Parts: sequence; C-alpha cells; structure tokens
Amino acid sequence: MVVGLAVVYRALASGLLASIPAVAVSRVLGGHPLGDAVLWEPGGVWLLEVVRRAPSHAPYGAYPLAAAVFVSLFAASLPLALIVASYGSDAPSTWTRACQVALGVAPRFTLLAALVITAQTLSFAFTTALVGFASRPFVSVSDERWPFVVGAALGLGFAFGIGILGDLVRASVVWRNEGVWASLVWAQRQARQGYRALFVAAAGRALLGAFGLTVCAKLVLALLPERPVAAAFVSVGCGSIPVALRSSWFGAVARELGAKAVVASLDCEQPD
Amino acid sequence: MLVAAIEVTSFAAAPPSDPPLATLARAETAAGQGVASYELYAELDAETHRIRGKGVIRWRNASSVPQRELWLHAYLNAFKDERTRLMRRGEPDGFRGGTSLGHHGSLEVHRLRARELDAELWGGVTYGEEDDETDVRVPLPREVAPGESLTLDVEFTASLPSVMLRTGYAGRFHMVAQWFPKLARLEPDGRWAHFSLDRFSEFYADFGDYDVTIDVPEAFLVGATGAPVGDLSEGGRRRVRFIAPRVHEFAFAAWDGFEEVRQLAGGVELVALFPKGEGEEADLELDVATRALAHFAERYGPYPYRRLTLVRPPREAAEAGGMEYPTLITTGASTRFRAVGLRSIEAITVHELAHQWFYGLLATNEHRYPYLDEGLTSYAELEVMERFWPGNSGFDGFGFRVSEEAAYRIAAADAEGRGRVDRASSEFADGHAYGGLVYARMATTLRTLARVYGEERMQRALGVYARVHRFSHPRPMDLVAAVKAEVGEAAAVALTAAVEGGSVDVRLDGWESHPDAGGGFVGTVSLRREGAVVLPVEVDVRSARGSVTRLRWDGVGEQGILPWRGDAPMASVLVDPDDRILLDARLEGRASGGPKTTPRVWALAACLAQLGASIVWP
Repeated sequence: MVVGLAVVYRALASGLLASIPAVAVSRVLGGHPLGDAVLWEPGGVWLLEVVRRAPSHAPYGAYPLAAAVFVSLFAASLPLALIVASYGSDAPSTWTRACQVALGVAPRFTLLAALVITAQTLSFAFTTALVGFASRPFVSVSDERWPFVVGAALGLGFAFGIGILGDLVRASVVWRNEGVWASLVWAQRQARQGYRALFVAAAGRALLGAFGLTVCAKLVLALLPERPVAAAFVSVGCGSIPVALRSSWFGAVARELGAKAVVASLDCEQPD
Repeated sequence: MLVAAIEVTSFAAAPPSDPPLATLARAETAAGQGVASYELYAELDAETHRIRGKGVIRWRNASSVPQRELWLHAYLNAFKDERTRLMRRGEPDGFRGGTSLGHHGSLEVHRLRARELDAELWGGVTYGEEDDETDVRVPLPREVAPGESLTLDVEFTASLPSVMLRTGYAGRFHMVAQWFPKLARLEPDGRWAHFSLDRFSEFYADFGDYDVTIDVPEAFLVGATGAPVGDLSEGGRRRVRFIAPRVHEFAFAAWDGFEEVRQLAGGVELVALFPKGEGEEADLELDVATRALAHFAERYGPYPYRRLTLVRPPREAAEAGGMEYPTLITTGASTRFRAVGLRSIEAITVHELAHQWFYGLLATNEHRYPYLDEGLTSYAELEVMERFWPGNSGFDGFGFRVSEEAAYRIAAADAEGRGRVDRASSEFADGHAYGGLVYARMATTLRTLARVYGEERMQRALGVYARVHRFSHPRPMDLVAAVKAEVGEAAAVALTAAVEGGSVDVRLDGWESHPDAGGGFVGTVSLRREGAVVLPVEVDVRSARGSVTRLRWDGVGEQGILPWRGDAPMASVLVDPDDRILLDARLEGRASGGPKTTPRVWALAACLAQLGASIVWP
C-alpha cells in the first residue's frame, strides 16, 4: 500500500513537472498542423527552434524554479519516510500515525537529501579530476583519457557508497528518531559491521534499476512519435521500478540490521 | 616561365644535390604561373621549437602600377608579446583561440636582400601599426615597374608559440603555419592588401610555386603542403622536400608521435597523420574525405593537386585542429561524439576539405571578406553533409534526427541584428558575432536561396563561380554576379540584402473561410513580412476534409493576402511548410489551427522526470 502510494505520488509529481515544458513547447508550435509530432520529423528545424525558444515561454522564472526544487525535495521525502517507517519493528499501525512519522522526519530528510546530493557530486568531480590529472604525467598522450575514465568510475563508486550511508542515516532518523549527526555516527558503525551484505544488496538493486529504467526509456522513445498516449502511460509507469526497488532495499537494510530498530515515538505536538 | 628560372639555392646545411629530385620539382611546377614563389629550407629544432629558415622569394609586380615598396606579413609576431593587435583583443568569447600563451612566438628576419636592386632591404622596414610587427613595409631603393621581377634572398628564425590559433607546438608536436616572411598580395590596381593580424583574421596572398625542404629529427613524420619529392635521412636528421605548385601558403606538421595511413581517392593520394590510438578517427576522416572530394570535384571543378594531407593533432594541440592550408587540412573531434549521435568528425573534415576550393583555389581576401571563404565553405559543408546523411547530418540519437543546416539556422538566428555579414574580420566585436554572421548566417542565407529558388540553380551558380575564378582572387561582386546570372535578379538582391545585415520574418497574420454560392468554400490567408530580405513564400492550407492546397506569395511588400478555395472550411494553415526560409529567425506565428496539446513532449518530460528523480531525489 505504501509503495503504491509512493508510485502514485511520483506519477503525479512527474506529470506536474512535465506539464511545464509541454505548455512552453505548445506556445512555440502555436497550432502546427502536425502538432508536436513535427519535433520528430527528420531535419529537426522545429525541434531546435523549440529548444531555443521554449525556455522564454516557460511559465516560471529562476527563483520560483529554485523554490520548486526545494519544495519537491521536501515533498518527496514524505513517501520515502513512509516506506522507511513501514520496515521498522514498530511500524505505524494507522495512516494518521504514519503521516505523523513522515511529517516529523521530513525536515531532516530534506536536509539529508541536499547533503547527500552535494557530497555525491563533489566526490565524483573531485575523484575524477584527481585521478585524471594526477596520472597525466605517467600515461602517453593517446592514453590520457583513460585516467579520467578510471577516475569517473571510482567517483561513481564513492557516490554510490555515500548513497548507501545516506540511506542508513535515513533509517536511523526514522527508526531511532535521532538527529542527523547522531544518525550518521550510528550509520557508519552499522555500515562497517555489515558492509559486504549491504553493498551486495544495494548494488544488485541499483543494477536492476538501471536496467529497468533503460528499457523503459528506450520503450518511451520508440513509442513517442506514433503512440504518444502509450508512451505517456509507460513514462508514468516507469516510476514503479525505482520505488519498488527502493522499498525492497530498505527491507534488506532492516533485515541486515536484525530488525533491532524501532520507530520512535513521535508526537505531532511539540513538548513544552 | 618563372619556374624555368628557379635556381637551386645552396644552403650551408642543405642536402647534396639530387638531379632526379630537381627534375621532378621542375615537372611538378611546370604549370606554375605564380606571382610570389618561395624556395625555402627550414630546419626545425624540436627542443627549442625554433625554425631556422633560408631561401629565395621570387616576386613579380603583377599590377599596373610601379612599386616603391613591398609589404610583408610576419604573422608569428602576433604572438610576440601581450601588446600586439591580436593579443590586445583579449578573450575571443565564442571563437577559437585562448588569451594566454605558455610560450611566445616571433619571426625574426636576419636578411632580406634584393638581387636585382643589389640592396639589403630589411634595415629600412617600418610596421603597419605601433606595437605590432605582423605587417611590415619594406621600402625599395627604386621603382619596380609592372611586369618586373625581384629575387629576394631571405634568412630568418621562426620561434613557435605554445599552440594557439592554429599554429605552434605542444610537447614535441609542431604545427608550423604562417612561419616565414610572406609577401602581402598586390592588387591589380597597385594597392597592397596588407593588414596587421587580428584575432579573427585569416590570410590573403598571391599564388606561387613553393619548393620547401624541411629538416627535422630523424624520428619525425612530416605532413606538408604539396607532395614530397625527396626524403633523405642522414646524421640523425631527416630532410623531406616538398613541391607545391600554384598555391598561396605553405604549412607543415612534424611530430614523432604520428602514425600514417594512405589511401587513393580518384587519383589523389590521401595521407592521414594521426596520434597513436586514434586510427578509428583517421579511418573515418579518410572515408569522408574520399567521398567529399568526389562531390566537390563534381560541383566546383576537379581538385588539381596530386596529394591531400589530413593532420589530426593530439588533444593537447587541439587548437591547431580544424584549419585549412593548401593541400593540407587539420581535423579534430573524437569518436566519443559519435557515441552520442553527433557527426563532429565528419563535419570538420568536410568543412576543411571544402576550403580547398573556397580559400585554396578561390583565394579571396580572408581578412577583408571572411564570409566569402568561411560562408561559402560552410554552405558547401552543409550541402555535402545533407547529401551523405539526409535529415540527420548533424545528430541522430534518442529518436531525434537533426540536420546540420538546422543547427546552423539556430546560430544564424542568434546572430540576427548583430550587424553586417560583409564586414572585415577586424570589425567584429566578439567571436559570437564573427562565428554567427560569417559562418552561420552566410551559409544559412545561401541554403535559403537554394531551398527557395532551387537546389540545381544554386549549385550551378556556385559551380560557375568556382570554375570561373579558380586560381584567382574573386570579390563579393563576382559571387553576386554568378547568383544573378544563374539564379536570378531577385536572388541576387536577397543575397546582397542579407550580407548587408538584412533579415526576414514571415508570419501568419490571419485566415478565414466561408461557404460560397457554388457549394464550396472560399477564404483568405493573410501574411506579414518584415525585414530587408524579400523572398517568395509558400503556404499550406488544410481543409476540414484533409485536402491540402498550396498557395504562393512573392513576398513583396509588408502584407500579402492570398485567396483560397476549397471543398470544406479551412482547418489549419502553415506558412513555409518545407522550411525553405531558414533565414527566418522566428518560426513562431507561422502556424495555426493544429492541435494545441503536446502529448509527446509531456510523455518525454515525464519520463525524464522519473529518471531524474531516481538519480537525485531522496
């Protein structure tokens, strides 16, 4: 049920976001007899015109966009918190209680999301640059792209590890109702103890997710020119893959940590 | 003949006399009718990146006016310090060339002696402008009459800069261009076309015969203008002699990291020099060059030389890539671009190859009229790319197919309102204006004329232009005359208006239909045109029953009202349905009556949102 709700949430959110470019493009096309099918015509004259002109027709500006990103991070944390809470040993028994839990941890989840994304980006960029440039003197000119490839692969690995750690922190925030710092300390201890099993569980699902989303994307691209409605359904349906895998991943985390965690008691009212 | 008079100059470090080579050289240049010919010996020091040069320049006063001076270009002096005209221009902002040099370059002339005048000339030189020694005036002790020739003995040292703007070194790779004292072109009316080298300026020179011996470390491979007629290794050095008849520039690349592949293409030997590990790119370039060579020969007359060298610089010398010299081009881009659907390697190769005609054989004044070479070359590039990869010549991936001319159209549209296309290269404010106007807008103008007035007529016009002015120095009026003769007066007027900075914007002003007495429907389509460029335009009217009627407006005036008759009410209207008027910067307002929804865009955006959410959302 929680997973289903998360899928619906993602479908609605992505549909809402998608309506922004759809409106902007429609303003540029202005009643072209072929509709937006003209964007898939060979030559791409209208396609590039849309890419050039649509941004000036978009129904938002830079500041509202930034606000929308922040709000979306906050809002997206609610279904995720519900999923995490459902795997605790003392999972909320009512929807009211579940919503209380989700709302209670949402600010910390938002902060965590920003921290994790920043840390992942920096570690990826830093590792790629460090390995790439530091190895330059030791490789021939024709081979100098390879250190950057290796650096990028390492950077992806680090980013992946940060993602795992971030999820453990989230689990601690919900299951133990601790602050971000205390949860980080707990998470890194858990990660050290069960790193192998956690890595296998995460990597397997990440690969499966990447494969599923790639297939989905290819299917959408193939359907778009002739069957846009079917493509739209597939687009929205694609969201169920990462949600299901994410849910399964938190289940694996709960099992690995021995289901010791309990969902902390949260009250909607602040204590005096 | 001039070539018959070429003497074998003796150099202190020159290879021993080689009669068969001399014979070959004479045979190669027998057709030469050069005004400025060069016989040079260049010794490259790969450690200091200097070239010690010696030789003879033969010049003939081909004008109708006696001359009391010569003008020489010493282009390498543009990199001498931060005060030169080129370096003062600063950040190119949107075009090639950085602003900082790891190592400066220069051209130091030690000797310039005129045999016929029995005079050393270099002592009296002055420069075209303060702080810039690229434009050199050489006073003569007496007048040189029309038809009279001078033989100039020259000695010089060229110090290459770290690679910047086409020339220089990176590690042991050397792209040696604009490296010797070079005579400016003397126009028929007796005026010298000389200039200080500017950030966006290229070059201009007379045709001549080049006989250049290049002396490099033994492990180096050399690619150069012309064709080799001798290759001698001795004492750890390698001397390769190149003969290049009827060209107006000589450049060479030398490196011990090159690999080489050769291929024959319709009697022309193609030689690709490329860094180790980039054989795939080189093979692609050779394949594209082979096909494009045949295409250009058919369009613009045969390639008249026996060899074409393609140099692919290493990545750290990418600035040297994407440049043209007679019979030698430098390429660029990587197969990684292909992996994402871009045809960058193909486009660069085709573009530089097209320069063999629009620069190499039609040696226009690139400084004064940069659009004549870059604009026509870009047009030729677009035409070939579209012929080879119709509808997807620029990009093919993710279900989208984009032609190069659509991409050029965007650049041309962005450059609208930035002034005249026909400015001198020194008059462009920044690289965006230069690239957008000279390359994109000129090419898009010509493509528009071809699409509006007919591909065949335009091909004929440029074919005539290229053949008539081969081995000469055409001017803008020659291009306009060819378009006028083969395409028509209206096209020539539109071309002139466009290069003067004119634009065109055609929009749908309104449409209506109603039943007529005969049981059918009648109506009108109202169009509005703005801008100085006048072009005929087509309109497709679709009736409610699906039948399509094509209407035509000559484009004259600000408004056109076109009558329509159909079997059902009008359902939709589309102006310029075949996208012929690529020069129109705004497509909005061209259509009406079609669907207002965009389900495909919505589905695609939703899919991207889902993918994005999976990566960045918590």
